[in-house]
Amino acid sequence: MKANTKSGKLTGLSEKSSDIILVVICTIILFIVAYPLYYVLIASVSNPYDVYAGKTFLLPSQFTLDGIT
Amino acid sequence: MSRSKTAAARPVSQPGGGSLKKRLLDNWQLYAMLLVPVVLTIIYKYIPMYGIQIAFRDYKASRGFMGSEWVGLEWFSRFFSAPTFGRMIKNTVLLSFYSLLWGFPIPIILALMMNQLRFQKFKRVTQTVLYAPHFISTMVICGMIRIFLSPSGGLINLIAGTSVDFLTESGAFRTIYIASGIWQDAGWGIIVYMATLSNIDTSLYEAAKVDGASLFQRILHIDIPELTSIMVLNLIMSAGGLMNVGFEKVWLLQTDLNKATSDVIAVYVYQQGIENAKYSYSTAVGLFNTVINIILLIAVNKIAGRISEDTSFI
Repeated sequence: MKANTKSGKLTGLSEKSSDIILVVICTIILFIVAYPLYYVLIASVSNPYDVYAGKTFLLPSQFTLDGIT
Repeated sequence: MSRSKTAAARPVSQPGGGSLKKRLLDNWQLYAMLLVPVVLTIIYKYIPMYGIQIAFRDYKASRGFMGSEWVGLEWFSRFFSAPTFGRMIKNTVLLSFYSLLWGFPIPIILALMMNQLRFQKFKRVTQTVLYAPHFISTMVICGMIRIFLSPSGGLINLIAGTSVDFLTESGAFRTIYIASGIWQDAGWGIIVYMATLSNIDTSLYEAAKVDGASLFQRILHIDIPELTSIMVLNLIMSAGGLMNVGFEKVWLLQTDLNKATSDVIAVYVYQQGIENAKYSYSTAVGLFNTVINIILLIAVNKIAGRISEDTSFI
C-alpha cells in the first residue's frame, strides 16, 4: 500500500487515473481501426446512391441485399 | 526411464568432433531433413536466376535466353538516361523511408501501451480488432481508400467540409499510402512485441514498484531494454524490403495526376516488361533495384550488428 502511494506521488498520477487515460486512448484507437471495417459492412447492405452521396454513416440506409446476392 | 537411458547412451555427436564423413553418417537424419529446404531453394530460387542474363542481352523470344545477342550494359545506361529516372529513384526511396519512419515506432508504442492495460477482456478485444485489417486484401483496401477519399460524399471530405480529390493530388499520395499501410499492419506488428513483453519476469516490475519507479520509468527501464533485440531484428527485416515498395498498392492508387510522387521502380518494371513487352529492359531495371536493395540490407545489418551483437546475420 505504501509503495502504491509513493509511485503515485512520483508520476503525479495515481494508478487509477493512468488506467483511465490508457483506456480512453485505446478506445480511440479501437474506434479508428474498427470504423472503416464497420463502414464497409454497412455500405455493402445500403443503397449505393446513398453511399456515393455520403449519407451512410452509422446505420445502413435503405437496407438491401442486392450488393451481396 | 529406459528411453532417457538410451538417449544418454547414444549422444548426438558434437559439431567439430570427428571427420566430416563420420559427422554426416552420425546425423544423417538431420541432414536429410535439411536437404528438403535446400533443394527447394535451389530449384525455385537459384536455377530461375539464369534468366537474369537477358538483362545483358537483346532478348528475342524466337532465339531464346541463350541465343539472344549480348548487348552489355546498354539497358542499364538507357535506364539511367530515362527522363523519369531521378523521379523514380526519389519516389521509391522516400516512400519506403517514410513508411519505415512512421510505421516502425507505432507498433512498439501500441504494444507498450496495451501491455499496461489491466482489463484482460478489453485488452484481448482491442488486440483482435487491431489485427483484423491485416487479413483484408490490398485490392479491397484500395477500394476502401477510394470510397473514403471520394470528392463527392467521401468521409474525409465530409468531415473537413471540402471536396478535394485526394487521389489526384500528388502531395497527398505518400500520406495516403503510409497512413493506410499503418492502419492495416500496425496491429499485426504488435503481436511479436506483445509476446516478448508478456515473457518479462513480473518480479522486475514488483521490484521497480517498491523502489518507487513510476509507470514511465518502468516502461523506460524494463520494457524498452527487453524489446531492443526484437526491435533491431524487425528493423533488419524491413530494411530487406526497403526498395520493394508494394507494387500492387502503388499501382492501384496511381492516377495520371499523382504520378509526380507515385511513380516507383516496381510499377515501371511492370509497365515496361508486361505492358510494353520490353523484357530485357525491365529485367535490367529490376536487377538494378535488387542490387541496391542488397547493398542497403547489408549496410543496415552492419549498423545493427554494432548496436546489439546477437542479432546480426551476415
